[in-house]
Amino acid sequence: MNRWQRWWRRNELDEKLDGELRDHVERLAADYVAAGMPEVEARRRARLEFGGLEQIKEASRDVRGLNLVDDVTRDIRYAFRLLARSPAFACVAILTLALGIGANTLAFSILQAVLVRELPYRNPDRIVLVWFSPPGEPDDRAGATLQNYFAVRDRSQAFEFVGSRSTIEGSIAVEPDDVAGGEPVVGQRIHATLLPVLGVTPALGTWFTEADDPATAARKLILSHRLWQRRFGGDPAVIGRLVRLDGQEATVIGVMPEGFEFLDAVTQFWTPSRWSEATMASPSRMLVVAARLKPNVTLHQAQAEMDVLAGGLAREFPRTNKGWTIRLEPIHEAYTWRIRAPLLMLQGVVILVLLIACANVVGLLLAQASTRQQEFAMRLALGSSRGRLVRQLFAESVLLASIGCVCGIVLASAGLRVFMAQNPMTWLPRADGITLDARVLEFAVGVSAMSSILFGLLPSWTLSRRASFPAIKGGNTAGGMPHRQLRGVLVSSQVALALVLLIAAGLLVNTMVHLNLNRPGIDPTNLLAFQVRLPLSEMVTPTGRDAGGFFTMEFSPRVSQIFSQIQERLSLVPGVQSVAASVVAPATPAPFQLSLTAAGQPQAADHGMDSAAWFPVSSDYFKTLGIAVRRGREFSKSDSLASTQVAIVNETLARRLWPGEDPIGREITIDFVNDRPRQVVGVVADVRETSNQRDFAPHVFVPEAQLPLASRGWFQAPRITMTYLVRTATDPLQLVGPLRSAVAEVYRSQPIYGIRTMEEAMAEQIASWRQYLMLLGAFAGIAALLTLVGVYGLVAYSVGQRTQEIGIRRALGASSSAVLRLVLRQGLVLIGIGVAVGVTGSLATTRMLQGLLWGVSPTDPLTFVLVSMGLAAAALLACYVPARRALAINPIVALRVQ
Amino acid sequence: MTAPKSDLPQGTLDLLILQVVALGPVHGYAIAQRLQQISRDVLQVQQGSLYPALHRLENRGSLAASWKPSDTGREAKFYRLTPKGRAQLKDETANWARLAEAVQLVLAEGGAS
Repeated sequence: MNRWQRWWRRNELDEKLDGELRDHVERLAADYVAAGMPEVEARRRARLEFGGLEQIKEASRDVRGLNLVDDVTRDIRYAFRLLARSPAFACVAILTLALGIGANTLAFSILQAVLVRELPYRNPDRIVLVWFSPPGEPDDRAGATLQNYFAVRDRSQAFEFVGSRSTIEGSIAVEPDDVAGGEPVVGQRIHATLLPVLGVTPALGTWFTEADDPATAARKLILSHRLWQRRFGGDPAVIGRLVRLDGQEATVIGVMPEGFEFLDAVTQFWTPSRWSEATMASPSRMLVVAARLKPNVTLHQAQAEMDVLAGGLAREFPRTNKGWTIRLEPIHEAYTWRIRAPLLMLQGVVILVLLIACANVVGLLLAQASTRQQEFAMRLALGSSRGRLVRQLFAESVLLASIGCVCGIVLASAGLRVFMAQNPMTWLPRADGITLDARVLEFAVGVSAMSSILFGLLPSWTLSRRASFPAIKGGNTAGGMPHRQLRGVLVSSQVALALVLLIAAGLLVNTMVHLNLNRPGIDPTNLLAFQVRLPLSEMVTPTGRDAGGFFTMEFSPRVSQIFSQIQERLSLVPGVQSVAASVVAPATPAPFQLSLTAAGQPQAADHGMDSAAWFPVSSDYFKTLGIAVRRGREFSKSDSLASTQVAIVNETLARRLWPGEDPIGREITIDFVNDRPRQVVGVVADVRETSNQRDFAPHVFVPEAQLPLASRGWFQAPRITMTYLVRTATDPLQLVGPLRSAVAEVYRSQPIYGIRTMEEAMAEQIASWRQYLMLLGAFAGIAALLTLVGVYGLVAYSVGQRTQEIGIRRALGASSSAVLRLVLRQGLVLIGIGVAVGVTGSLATTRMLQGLLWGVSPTDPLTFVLVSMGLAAAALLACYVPARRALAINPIVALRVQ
Repeated sequence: MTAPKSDLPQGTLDLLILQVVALGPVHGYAIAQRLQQISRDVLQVQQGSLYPALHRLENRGSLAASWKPSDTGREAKFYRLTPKGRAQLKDETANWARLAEAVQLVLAEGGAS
C-alpha cells in the first residue's frame, strides 16, 4: 500500500486500529479478572493503564505518514471557518496585507523591468560603452570624435566589434507629397558594425554593411518597428522601397524587432554614419561608441588597454584629446545609473510599508489569540500536542497571507495601470516593459510567504507557550503583560517607520513646491507653442569646403522671409494677441553656448572668455512671452541684415560685462560664423531655462533675421526649424485649427507639429518629479494609514481588556478625565517613543535623498516639525476615539462580566 | 513490584519487538506481555510507544500483519516477521552486541583508572 492508497482507505484503517487497541484493553481486563478482580474494576484498571486511547491512535496514524496531509487540510478548513466567524478581523488583516504586498509587487515590477531585466541584446554583459571624459572629470560621459572612434575600432585588441551612433533628426516622406513627412522624427546615424556589437538582427530585411558608411554610398534606411507600423502600415513589402529622408532619396532595407532600442526609446530609424575625409578632423564629440568584449577579455583588461590608447590619442590629437581619458562602462550600467538610487529607495520604502503591515497583523492576531487562550488550553488538556497548535495557528497565518497575496496582486495591477497611464517612459528608461510577469508574481508569492512567517510565527509561539492548564479556568485577566509589551513595541516601531517615510515624502513635496515656485520668469497661461520646419534641400545650398575642411553653405534669404510672413499671418488670426518665433524652444535647456567679447573691455589673463546662452528670436519675442524689458527696446521688424546689427542681453550678462554701467549702445562680438559686431539695444529681465536651474545664466538674444546667410558646420537643421509662440485671449488649444490653416496659407507644404501649451511644457519638466513623488507619497500614505489603524487597534484592545479594571475604578469614584488619562497614557508614551525614534532615524537617513532634493536641505527643520506633529496628532486622534469608549463603560455591567 | 523499572534506550524497542515476533505470529497484547515477562518485569513498554512502533515496522515492511480468529473468539491482529524484518533483526542484534560490548568496555576501563 503506498501513501495515497493508505490515505484513501484511512477510514477503514482507522477502524482496524480501533479494533486492535480495543482488543488489547479487553485482554488486559480479562487478565485482571482472571487474577480475581471484579469485572468493572478490571476494565477501569485496564483502561487507566492503557492510557490515552486517542493519543495512541494519533501517534499510530502519524506513523502512516499521511496525517500531515489530513491535518493540513483540516487546519486550513478550520482556519477558513475561523476567519468567516470574525469577518471584521479577517477584512482588516487581509486588506492590510494586500496593501503591503501590493505595494511591494508594484515597486518590484518597476525595479525588475528597469534595473534587472536583461537588455534585448545577445550576451548584454559583454557590451561596454566607450566614453571620453574631459580633463579633470574622469566620471563624465562625453562622446567620441570621429578620429577617436576609428582609433578605438582599429587599434584595440580587447574588442570583437566596435560601433557608434550619433543622434539626428530627419523628416521621412513616404510619398513625394507626403504631408505627415514634414514632421521630423529622431533617428540614429550609426556605423554598420554597431549591430554585431549588439548581436541583434533585423526582424525584416537586412542590416547595413561597412560599405554603406562613407558619404559617397547610396543612402539606406532601417525603420523601427513602431515607425514601420505607424507610417507604413506594417507592410512587409516596405523592403526596397524608396522614400525621402530630409528630401533626399533613401532605400528602406530593414525593420528592427519590436522593442529594440539603443540608449534611447525615441529613435525611429537608423541610417549609416556618412563620414568623409572632410569630417574626419571635426572636433565635435557626437559619437557614442559601443564595443563588444572578446570572449576571454575582462573589463579590467580592456580598461587598461583604453588607458594606454587615451595617452596615445592625447599625443596624436592634442587639440581635441589633451588630458582626456577613456572610461568603459557596461551598457546595463549606462541604462541604470541615473535611476538606480530612486528605484532602490522606492523598494526600500515599500519593504518598510510591508513591515508596518505585518506589525498590524501581528497586533490583530495577538488580540485575537488572547480571546482564544481558553480554546487552546482545552485542546492541550484533551491531548493535542503543542506542535499541532502551532501548526494550526500557522495555517491561519498562511491562509491570511495567501488571500492577502491574491488581493495584493489585484491591487498592484490596478496601481500599475494608473502608473502607466502617466506615461512614465519620458523619465524611466525601458518603462514600456513594466508588467506583472511571472518573475514579479513569484516575488509577490515569496513576499507573502516571508510575511506569513513574520507575522505567523511570533503569535503562535507566544500563544502555544502560554496556553496552559490554568487558562482553562477562564481567567483572561492574565491577558497579560508580555502581550501588551509586545504590542507596545510594535506600535512604537510602526510610528517610527511611518514617520521616516512621511518625512522623506515631505522633503520631496517641499522640493516640488520649490520647483513650482521657481518657474522660469515667463507667463505660461494662454501661450501656445508649435514648430514649423522648412525643407533643408530647398533652403540651403552647399558651397564647398573652407580651409579647415568644413562644409560651407549658403542659406536662402527666403528662410527669414517665410518665417516672418508666417508670424505676420498668425497675428491676424482672431483671438491671437501676439506672436513671436524662436530657434530655441522656451523652457528647455539652452542648447547653444557661444563665447563673446565686449568692445573696450580689458581682458584679465585669468578671466578667459565670457560666454552666454545664445537665442536667435523674432520681433515681439519679449512682449509675447511676458518678459520685462528693463532698458532700451526689444527687436522690431525693421531689424534686418541691411540695418545695424543689434543684440539684447539679460541682466546677468549685463552685470557681468559692464558692472554698474549702462549697457545700451555698447558693442559686443559673438563667436558665431561670419557674425559682425553688434550693438546692445536692450536689457531684459532674467529668465530661467528650466525649473530646476538654480541661478540665472547669462543670455544674449539676436534677431533671427540678422543671422549671416553664409555659414558652415553644425548649425543647419535648427536654423530652418522655428518654434512659434502664440499668446491668445482664451484657451489657445481652441485656435489650433485656424493657426494650422494660417501657416498653410503662407507655406503650403509644411505642416505644424509639436503643438503644446507652455503650461504643458513646463509641467513636463517636472513630470518625472511629480510621478515619482506620487508613487512615493502613495506608499508613505499607506504606511501612515496602517500605523493609525495599528494605534487604534492597540488602544481599542487594551480598553477591552481593562473593562473590568476600569469598571472598578469608576465604581470607586474615578472621574471621566482620570479614566481617559489612564487609557490615553499608554498610547501617548508609545507615540512619543515612536516619534523620537522616527525623527532620529530620519536625521540619520535623509542624507540618502540628497540627490533627489532641490532647494531643500535633507534635514529641513520645517518639514521635520510639520510632519512629526501631523503624524503625532493623527495618532493621538486614533487613540482618542477608542479611549472614549472607556468612558461609556458601565461599572455594574463591567463587574458582572466575569 | 520489586526491581525498579528501566526506560528503553532510544531505538531498542524496534529490536525487541522484532525479536519477540521472530518466535512466531503474535498480537500486540502478547508482545507487550512477553517483553515484560522475558525482562522479568524490568522493561515496561508503554502502549503509547508500542503501537506506533508496530505500525512503523509494518509500514517499513519489516513486519506483516493479518487478522485471524484468536483464543478470545474475536479476530485479532497478528504480526509476523518478513524476510526483510529477519535481516533487520540480524543486523540490529549484531549492532547491539557491539554497542553493549563497547559500553561495557568503557565502563570497565573507567572503573580501573
